[in-house]
Amino acid sequence: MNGPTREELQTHAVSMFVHDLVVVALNRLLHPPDSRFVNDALHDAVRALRHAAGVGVELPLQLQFSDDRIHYEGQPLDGPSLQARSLLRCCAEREIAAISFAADLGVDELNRCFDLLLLSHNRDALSRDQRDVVLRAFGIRNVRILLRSAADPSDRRTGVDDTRRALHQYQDLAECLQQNHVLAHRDMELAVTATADVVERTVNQFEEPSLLLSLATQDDVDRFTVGHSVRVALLALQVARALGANREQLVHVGAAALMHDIGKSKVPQEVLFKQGRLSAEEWHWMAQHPRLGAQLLLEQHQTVDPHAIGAAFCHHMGPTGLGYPQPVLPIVPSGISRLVRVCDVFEALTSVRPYKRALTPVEAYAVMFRNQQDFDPAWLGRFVRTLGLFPTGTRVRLDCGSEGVVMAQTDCPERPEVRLLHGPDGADLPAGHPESLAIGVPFEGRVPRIAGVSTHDRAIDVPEFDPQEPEVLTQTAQHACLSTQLARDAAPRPAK
Amino acid sequence: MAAGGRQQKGANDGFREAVAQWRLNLRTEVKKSSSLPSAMFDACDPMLETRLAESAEAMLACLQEPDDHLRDPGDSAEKRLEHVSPAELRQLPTQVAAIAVVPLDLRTGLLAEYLGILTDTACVANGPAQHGAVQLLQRDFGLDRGADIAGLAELLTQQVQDSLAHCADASEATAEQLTVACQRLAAALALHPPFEPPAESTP
Repeated sequence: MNGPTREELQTHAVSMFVHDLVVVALNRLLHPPDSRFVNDALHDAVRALRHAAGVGVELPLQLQFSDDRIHYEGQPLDGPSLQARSLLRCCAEREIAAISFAADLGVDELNRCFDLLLLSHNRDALSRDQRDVVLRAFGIRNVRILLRSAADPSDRRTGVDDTRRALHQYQDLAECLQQNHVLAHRDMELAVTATADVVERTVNQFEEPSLLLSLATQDDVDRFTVGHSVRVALLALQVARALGANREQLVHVGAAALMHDIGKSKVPQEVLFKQGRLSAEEWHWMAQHPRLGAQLLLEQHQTVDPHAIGAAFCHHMGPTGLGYPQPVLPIVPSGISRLVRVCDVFEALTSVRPYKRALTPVEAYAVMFRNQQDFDPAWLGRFVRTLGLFPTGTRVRLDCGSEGVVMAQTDCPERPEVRLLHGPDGADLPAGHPESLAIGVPFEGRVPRIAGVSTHDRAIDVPEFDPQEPEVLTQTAQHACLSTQLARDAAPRPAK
Repeated sequence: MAAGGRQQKGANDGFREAVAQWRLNLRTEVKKSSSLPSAMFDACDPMLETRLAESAEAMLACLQEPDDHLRDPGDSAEKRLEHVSPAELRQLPTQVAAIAVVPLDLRTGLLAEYLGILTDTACVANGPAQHGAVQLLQRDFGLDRGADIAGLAELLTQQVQDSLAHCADASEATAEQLTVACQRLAAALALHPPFEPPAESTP
């Protein structure tokens, strides 16, 4: 595959800067403005701005703010916007249309800028008649703030299509969880009812959570493990829905999965985001988070249901209760806890962490099957069958060289339907060529096969799968796989 | 800082002089802000003032300079990547197909899990979490606080065994473990202060 173009590098650099701004805003929710965490995030943001300038982004760098997204040069930056609800709301309250950042922006100056943007008592400080005076008084010279014009309603939420609805729902889930982490960190009562409400809205609005999940893959803001927990919840909801769970059960599953890592709000951030190997003491802290999470939920007394308590306590336990924490009585995890465990590990493997790169889904499955004893096989199998070996949204390369995106799953987890993006070597698809293909089903004398998978920063080859023994196949899978196997046998083979 | 005439000296002299002046000012500030009377500095330890100034200087330097890991992300940004062999990928469909499709219930084992966590929290935690766990043990499992710890432990053991009996994987839970844990739980329950329900708020 070709390296990134200059424009792609620039867009990525801007995206990283916006990501760092969002992280500053999230850290300011949790910590005092002069804390080390805020300071680190500010340094990262300033460094990212300079990096952007270094790859040719023109400064001052102007970002536009609508009610639900941050934009650069008119293009929405969905990834960093997913956890930016608080920042976006503050900007909307202040009628901010755009903010420009100049080259000499410093850490302290940026922090003062966030004072104006985030603190409620500064809500009116940026009004049109006093904005310039206030900026001068705050010593802000390298940030320019443009306010919305009354005649320009383009920034408002207009027209809610499916994608926008999904974005709002994802932001709601993320914000709800952010608030819970902040409340837990401050030893305040959790917003348990609000959490159940937001999950219920998700369940009601999205029969098929794949749109939300595809958004989730763009969420790379790693703070409070919010993105991780939202993705785990969406994965768990997808599997539970495929099982035929009713609405009430779905809300239980979603809320339990969403809150499963709430105990991490009690783990020091130095440990939580440490890049290197954890020391014994640090590991002790980390290993306590399931128990701390359950205890946090139990402190809510009447309002928390046993599903959430169980998922928080047991999501690092294998099917027989091995793992951590070690309870005073042997505990055998419930069905929901087993499902959350599978989703949790899959999500952790397929996402970027400070200390590791992301695996593709098919690699993640291989790692999970390598450690199969850690999972309830029935739940692992159900998970793979629901999502498929190549989950919907995965970018794939076919053996003919064409590239496409997985659109839907079939009864055979390794044979999804693929929408083609282009032909071999990036060529356009010939006129009349179908836009989608079923993997394993003969087309024009060939049986298309997935030969590679790529993420935003990695591409791997996928070898031809081993032929399966018919007797080990389940009835449904056997039927689907055998029919395509027969078709494959009947298809003409290319000459060697 | 360096006056024009001083530029005749070595290139670093002006800088050194400024640093020396700064150190002197710092010592003065340390002395001023210390609760020790001035005379104490010399009386107790003639180096005290210097050491305090050096400590303050070191702390200021730490604040000025970002941590190493912040300074150069490039060196430490090499991230781990789990290795997966082609052979492992090849086997995947076979491994998935080998798992029988069985009916699954999200609520399986929920009660036993819940009881186990409440027990753990009642024994291990303290404060509001322990209070909440005890309260839920009483509410959801009918475990009244009894005067007789042994009798309560026996009752708890029986309830836990009944709950675990529904789980196929529960054979590892030995009777001895159960008894010890239930005795601890009974003690925690018996010693726990009586639960006072919050007063109903009147409209």
